[in-house]
Amino acid sequence: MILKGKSVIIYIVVIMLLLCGCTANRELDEQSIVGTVCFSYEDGFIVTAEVLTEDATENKLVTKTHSAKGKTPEKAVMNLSNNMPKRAMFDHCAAIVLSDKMSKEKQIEALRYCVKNPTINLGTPVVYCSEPQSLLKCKSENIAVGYDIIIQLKVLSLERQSRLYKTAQNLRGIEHFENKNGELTHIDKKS
Amino acid sequence: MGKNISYYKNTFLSGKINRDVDTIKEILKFDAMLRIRKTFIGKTGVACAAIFIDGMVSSDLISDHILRALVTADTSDDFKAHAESVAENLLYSSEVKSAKTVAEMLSAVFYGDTVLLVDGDTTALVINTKGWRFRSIEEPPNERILTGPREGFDEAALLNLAQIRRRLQTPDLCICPINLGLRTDTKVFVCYLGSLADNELVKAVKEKINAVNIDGVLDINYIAEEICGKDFLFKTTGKTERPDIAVARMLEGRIVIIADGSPVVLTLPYLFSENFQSNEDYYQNWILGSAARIIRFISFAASCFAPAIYISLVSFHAGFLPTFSALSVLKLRTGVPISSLLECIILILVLELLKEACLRAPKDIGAALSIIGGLVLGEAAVETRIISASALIVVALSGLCSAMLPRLRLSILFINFFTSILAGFFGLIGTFTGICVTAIYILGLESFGYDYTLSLNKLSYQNLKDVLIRAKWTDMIFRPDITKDIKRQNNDIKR
Repeated sequence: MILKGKSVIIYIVVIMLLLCGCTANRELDEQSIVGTVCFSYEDGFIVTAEVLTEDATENKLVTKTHSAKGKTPEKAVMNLSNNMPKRAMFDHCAAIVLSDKMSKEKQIEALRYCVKNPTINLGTPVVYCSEPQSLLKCKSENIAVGYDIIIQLKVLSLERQSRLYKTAQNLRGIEHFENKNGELTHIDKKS
Repeated sequence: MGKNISYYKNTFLSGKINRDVDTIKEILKFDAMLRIRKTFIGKTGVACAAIFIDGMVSSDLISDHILRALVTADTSDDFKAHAESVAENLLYSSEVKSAKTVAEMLSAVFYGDTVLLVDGDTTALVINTKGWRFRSIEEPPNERILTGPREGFDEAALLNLAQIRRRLQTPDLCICPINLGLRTDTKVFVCYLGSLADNELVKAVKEKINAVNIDGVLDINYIAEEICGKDFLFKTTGKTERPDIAVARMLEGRIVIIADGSPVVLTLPYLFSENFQSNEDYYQNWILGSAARIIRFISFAASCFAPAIYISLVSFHAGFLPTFSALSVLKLRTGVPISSLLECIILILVLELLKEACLRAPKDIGAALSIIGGLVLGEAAVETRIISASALIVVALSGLCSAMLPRLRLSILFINFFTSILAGFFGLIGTFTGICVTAIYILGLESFGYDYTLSLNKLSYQNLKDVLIRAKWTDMIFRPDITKDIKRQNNDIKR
């Protein structure tokens, strides 16, 4: 078929592209991949991120922890990005860890931020921990603690109910993990 | 200022041999290759002159078939020596025509024929004595196949026509000569099968060729660009150096244009799907042919859009990458000072430079060039972190895929650049916009009145049997819609 006025179609497409195309160009090496993100509250939201970086001396990937504080989760994350050498990228965030010492309102506020953030996958599992920062000190077999959390949840068949889009509504289905002697340990609710 | 042949189309011979010879000498006074051999016809005493261009003719043919025949002619007393009687009774040549105007004589002489002037006759004889050297029949280097015929065209149009005639032993084959080029007077032949080619198409093509007003035609591409019109990114005329392909296309109702001096012939109309067809598909098992064709389609997509997709994912949408892949790319890209868009553009340019260099460079340097390309540019650039290995892999893959489609080489290069730039600025939306614009452009093209994507119009097996796959010959009952006679075989089956 011969399309008449194809040049008009091309112009419209180009104009639409200029108006609504992606403009957030950031090279992959200008960003830090966040493997796990933790939320706690102490006179303000404290966001801790486990970041995967390359150690130039050892020429391998290592994890580093960065923290920041803010009145709201958004401000805390913004401060976190400012503190880090590279901008945080949550696209590959494997798990969200909440402090169970936060009030329910604060937990919901943190989870709402995660839902609104377009880079955080809605299927990311959410877990509790009494001290989220301590969880990041666990020994990891898969570079980041977040991946270990996912594997354990899958083994226990609890991964589905822990997903962000389910837990953000009513805080149900969130499993509990702790750092016991450097090992990531799942705490059974019944015990 | 030189004059062209048509200037002399109203100049006639006087019938007096000395005057006519002087006329020819005057016209070609600066041509050092002109030869004029005067003699008498047997015992008649009638003078004649053979005019030819040295180097274009076969001296043996002139000596044996013309001069010896004339000098030793044993004619009766009542033999009247004029052009017609000499041609019928004395000459041994296989082809003798007559010429009345100086333009016709010059045209013949410049093409390797000998003109014989007979005193007292205003008609000259044009005798076939062509003896110019030509290349031996070889396989075209750009159209190599593993199985099938290995003959190719060469620069002599007559020999090319003979190759076609050998394959199409039918009176249906039409060969129409046209002379093009004011100074070159290049012989161009329009060939088609009368019962298959569309009459309107033939008429339109002949009109367009006759309308070409150019100084000289040295290659078929001159004609292609003159008659094609809009032919920017995708060629709307086919080119081939193989007689089997030319004949195959004529059997599908297409027209073939042959120009003297060019080993490449033009076939039209030319459809988009023909870019993915190879004659080898038809010379081997249909399953292998189909697989090869599908691979070519995939290669086209990969070669055009792989760099753009890579740029989009790395620069905008790293979330789409699996985490460990993203980590690998991150590790490879760490320390690279330029953006992925610039990386890909530089690599594409370097790849094209290498390709051109390998094509044009002498064979002895070819090995050194491949070492430079592989080791120096590839490995060293990656180790020094000028470019990343991931970008090199993607662009090399794109280059490899484009090598599968030599006819689309330049098109792929342009589309690559276009979509990469769009991807670099607008991410995946830009990539898909580039894909859409390319698709719109292809769908809007036409080749001599036929849709460029004619074969993709109807999604039916009969329509696509020779497009996406190469169906068995028993299934290829119908020809493409561009022919007058649709049925290729099994004439009692209705469509």
